[in-house]
Amino acid sequence: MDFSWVKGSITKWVRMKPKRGEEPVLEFFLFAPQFILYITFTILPFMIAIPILFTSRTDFLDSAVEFVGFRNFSAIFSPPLVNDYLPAVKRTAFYTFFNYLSVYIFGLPLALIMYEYVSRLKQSFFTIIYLPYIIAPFGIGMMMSMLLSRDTGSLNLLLVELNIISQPIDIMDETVARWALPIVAGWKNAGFNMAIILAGLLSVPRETVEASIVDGVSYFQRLFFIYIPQIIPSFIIATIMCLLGSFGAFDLPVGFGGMRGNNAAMFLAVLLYKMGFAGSVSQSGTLAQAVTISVVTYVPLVLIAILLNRLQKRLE
Amino acid sequence: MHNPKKKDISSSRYTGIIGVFLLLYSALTILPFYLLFIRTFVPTGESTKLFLWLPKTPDFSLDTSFGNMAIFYSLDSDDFKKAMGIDDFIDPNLTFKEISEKYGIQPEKISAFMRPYYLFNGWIAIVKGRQFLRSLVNTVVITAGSILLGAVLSICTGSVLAGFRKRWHFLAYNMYMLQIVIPPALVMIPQFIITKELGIYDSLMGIILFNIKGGALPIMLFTSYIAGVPKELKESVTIDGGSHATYVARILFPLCKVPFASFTAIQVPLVWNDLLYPLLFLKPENYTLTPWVNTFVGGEFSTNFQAIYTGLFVSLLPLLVVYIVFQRFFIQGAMAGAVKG
Repeated sequence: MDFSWVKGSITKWVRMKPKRGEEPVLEFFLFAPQFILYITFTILPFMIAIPILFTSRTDFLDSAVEFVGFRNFSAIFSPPLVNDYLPAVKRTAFYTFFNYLSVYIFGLPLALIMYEYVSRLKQSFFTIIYLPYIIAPFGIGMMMSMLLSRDTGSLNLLLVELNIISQPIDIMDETVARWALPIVAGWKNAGFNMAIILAGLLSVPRETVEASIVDGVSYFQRLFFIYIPQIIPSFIIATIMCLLGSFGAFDLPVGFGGMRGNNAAMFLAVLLYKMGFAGSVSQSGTLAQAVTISVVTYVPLVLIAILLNRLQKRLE
Repeated sequence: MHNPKKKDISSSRYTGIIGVFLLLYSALTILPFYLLFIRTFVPTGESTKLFLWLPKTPDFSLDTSFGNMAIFYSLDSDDFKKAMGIDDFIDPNLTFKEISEKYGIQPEKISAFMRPYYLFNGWIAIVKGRQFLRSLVNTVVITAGSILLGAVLSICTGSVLAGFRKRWHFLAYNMYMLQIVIPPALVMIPQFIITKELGIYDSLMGIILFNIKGGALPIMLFTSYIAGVPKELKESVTIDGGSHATYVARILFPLCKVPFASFTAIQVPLVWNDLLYPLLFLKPENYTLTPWVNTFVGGEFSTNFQAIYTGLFVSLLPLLVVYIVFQRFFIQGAMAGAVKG
């Protein structure tokens, strides 16, 4: 048999030298550390999660793990677990929708106002409006739920004192908390959304704006035909940040007491945390079922997000 | 003919209205923080009253029982005994009058010791408790380590990926971008298993490793910036006999100030304020500030609202001060990062 082709390709491989200025080995060592960390902590979890889906694992110490097939998938859609799961999905979806809306209720108007406003106080206002964004979401949630607590909350006492409300707000009430969470989140993120939309507005060529003013168009014509089309990229960033942040929201609802029995703040992430880490005693679900819930809920979302991203790139 | 300036919102007619609106909005934004600050001085017993300014210190009533002060004012009995020179177990049911009679201490001395406890017991309890300082140090260590190491690793990654000279560069870049769509809640249980297996549970380094693992934002910021660095710089390093490592260390590290500022401005609040990772991967005695506050309710201070308010306020204070001092840096960094992204 003729092995000369092997010999030939080996010599070729040995002789193959990197082009000038290229150092593949060094590049690999610069690239590898972060990539290994990234794979370990972000991609590997998916692979670990898959086998757990089909087992009866109740907690991290469970030694009698059995193969249960697809029983976990049916378990999360049947009582008692479905009574925790579906309301948590509904609450999270409600929060996500209104939190996204708040980009346009808080961020957009503030950015438009800041864009036009000329004053020495501008910087101070900007600093104050941006301030809640810096503060821990957990701290904001806890602060607001304490200041709005029914009998002792200072904000409640103040509102009653000023006769703005006749009855104190009960933050533990399901309906109140449902609205309070996205409003607080909108207020907290207002500064950030304002900043990124303002960054988009500032990149609009000044000549375009001045030409429109000379032509005598109204403010709203300018808004819809000049500003908004030019700040679409800012909206896309705000959208991505907001949607992903909201559906996995954990800190803010925990601040509102999601782990201490405030059911209205029992979001998906909080439910998953409780099922996985707070011990299966207080909860009806097992660890394997928590993993099943996260996969069933989030994996479709992740796929949709990737598809949307592809679509957006194709449109560009 | 239209008057060109007639409907312009920036004309002086509207500036006043806008100013008033911004003033109101800013006041409403400050209000909760101000009320929280005031609440750190309001005794638990007066929780149902509204205070917009510091409450007056009432005269200390010697008829209060010792146990009540311990429960509602977090009075440390050891401190009290040391200050009074008592070397005995104090029955919590005794009033201070009875204590003064039993141990022969002047009532004025007790009153003087107890007076600050009405307004400042929260601050006394928090500052005396070691946990605050420990949490603060842990938070600073984690944040500083995550930002510095994260930037170094991201610059290294960016130096390789910039320009997408090979097919796998683009693939790796897209894998990092995937991080943006993965909510932490989705992977927290497997991540916990990995942490346990790797033996990095309950170590600050473990949290730092999680924070520096690279993701969409840092890789995007640094890679796009490095891609814009003139090729001549790299070539001149090669001509002078320097390797790629020299290029990264001598040229890129000093050059990457702009993306580093954006990275820091966006990442510092996220790392500093994080609740999930420390809660998952640290034991309570090693908590950072945010999960430390989470232990209050139903924990040590469950009967002392004032201490809870104070702990919450104190936990928010450090970053608040940093923000006020470096406000321009934070806002401009975030805006620049948003435009780049």
